[in-house]
Amino acid sequence: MKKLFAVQVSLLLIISVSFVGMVYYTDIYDVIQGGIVEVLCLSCIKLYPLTSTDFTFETGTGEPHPDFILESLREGPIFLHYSEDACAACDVMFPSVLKFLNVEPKKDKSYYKLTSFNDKPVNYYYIYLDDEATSEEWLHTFEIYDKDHIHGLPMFSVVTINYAHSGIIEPYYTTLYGQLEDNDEQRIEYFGELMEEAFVLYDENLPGFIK
Amino acid sequence: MKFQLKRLWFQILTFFSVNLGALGIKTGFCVPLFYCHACPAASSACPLRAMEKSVYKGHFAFNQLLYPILILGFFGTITGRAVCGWACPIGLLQRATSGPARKLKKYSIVKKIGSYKFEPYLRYTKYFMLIGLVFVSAIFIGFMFTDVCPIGVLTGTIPIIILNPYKFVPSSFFWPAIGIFILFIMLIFLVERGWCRYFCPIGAFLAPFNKISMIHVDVDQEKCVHCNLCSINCPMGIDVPNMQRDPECILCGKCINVCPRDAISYGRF
Repeated sequence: MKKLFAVQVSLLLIISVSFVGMVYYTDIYDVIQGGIVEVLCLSCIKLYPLTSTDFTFETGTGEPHPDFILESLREGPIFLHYSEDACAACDVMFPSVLKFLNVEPKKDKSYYKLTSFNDKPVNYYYIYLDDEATSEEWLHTFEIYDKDHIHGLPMFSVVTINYAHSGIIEPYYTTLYGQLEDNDEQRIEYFGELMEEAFVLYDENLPGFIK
Repeated sequence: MKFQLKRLWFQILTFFSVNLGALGIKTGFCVPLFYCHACPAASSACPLRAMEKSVYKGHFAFNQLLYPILILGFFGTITGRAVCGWACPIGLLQRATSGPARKLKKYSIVKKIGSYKFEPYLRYTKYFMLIGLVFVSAIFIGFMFTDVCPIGVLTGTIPIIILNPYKFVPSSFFWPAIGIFILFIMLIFLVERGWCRYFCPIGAFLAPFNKISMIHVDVDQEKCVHCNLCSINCPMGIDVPNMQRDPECILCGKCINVCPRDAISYGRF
């Protein structure tokens, strides 16, 4: 009886101290909160967002577009690719995007490259949410470009420019979510059509945007 | 009877607590019970998802594995599987279906389902679910458990479809998961606490803690007359008079309530 009591108390002490220590000294609380609770787990719900490729001026949070996006738009349209740790659909989409834009990011490191598609410049941003080196400004775009407020991964945004009702040329974007199409070829064709649309708008509006 | 009413209130209170996400409270804790964080109102993470994620495709994240284990271990050491009987929302659902399940028992075919010779061995399925589907498949293949989890369908998929009717389309796992969900519903109507008995991986994790938990159910063998009223009323189908800190016991206290000789009680330490 005494032996069992000693086991119970020891176990409870070890568990309590370890748990408090983990919460206090590591970022596990934030990892679980940001990586599981606040991100919609598409595999848990067995559903994919019904993706619409419609472009919009209005950001997901209502905030203005970040400075680095405005800066990059001077070079060409932007392709934002969001991914995270342990995301099955992200793993499926990753090689397709690499082939599509001829880029070579490491899967777990955020990355930027001015690349091209059909000989036209594209700013490629790979934003890995679990990479501690990713800047806050980059991470925050996950909220800003969450067009349909899905908050799920993988997420892809294409940002170009267009003439807004306000009378000025502004960033114009669309966002896609989840695993798209069935194979690499179909995905590349799908993204390609979207980029072509972005290039048309970009070329039409660039003079007004730079001015 | 009052005691069971208290347990019901506690289950309802826990149900609301795990759904505080509806008020915008999203924490970084794991719940020590079965509830899907994909539920729009969920306030904390499912411990199984954290475990799966920690070993996903051999990429080992020790802190993500240890964190839910410590949370479950804490509750397990104090109360054993009482979490299943007193707090788990899926336990509450099965409490609601236990009435029909008991009524259906009068049909011989249903009675046979819960009384086959291999029934005790079927209870080991939940350990296979925990080790095989949550850990081994996550290491070598990918997420398999969460892809087909019936609790995910109940608490995640269905509310999301209702709240966002035209925003989502089925993934390739949708229909297999719906099939499993239908089997889950049939199971809990046919076998009282069928999910807890045979399939719940969290129950599998907590079950060994019954052997050392601070709170447990004791049977006084000197007072017991083996009338078996306790076993008849036990929702987990345990042979109560002969149990010794049984891993299946969810400490619901139904046996304590029905014992005419007060031979059964909660033991401490």
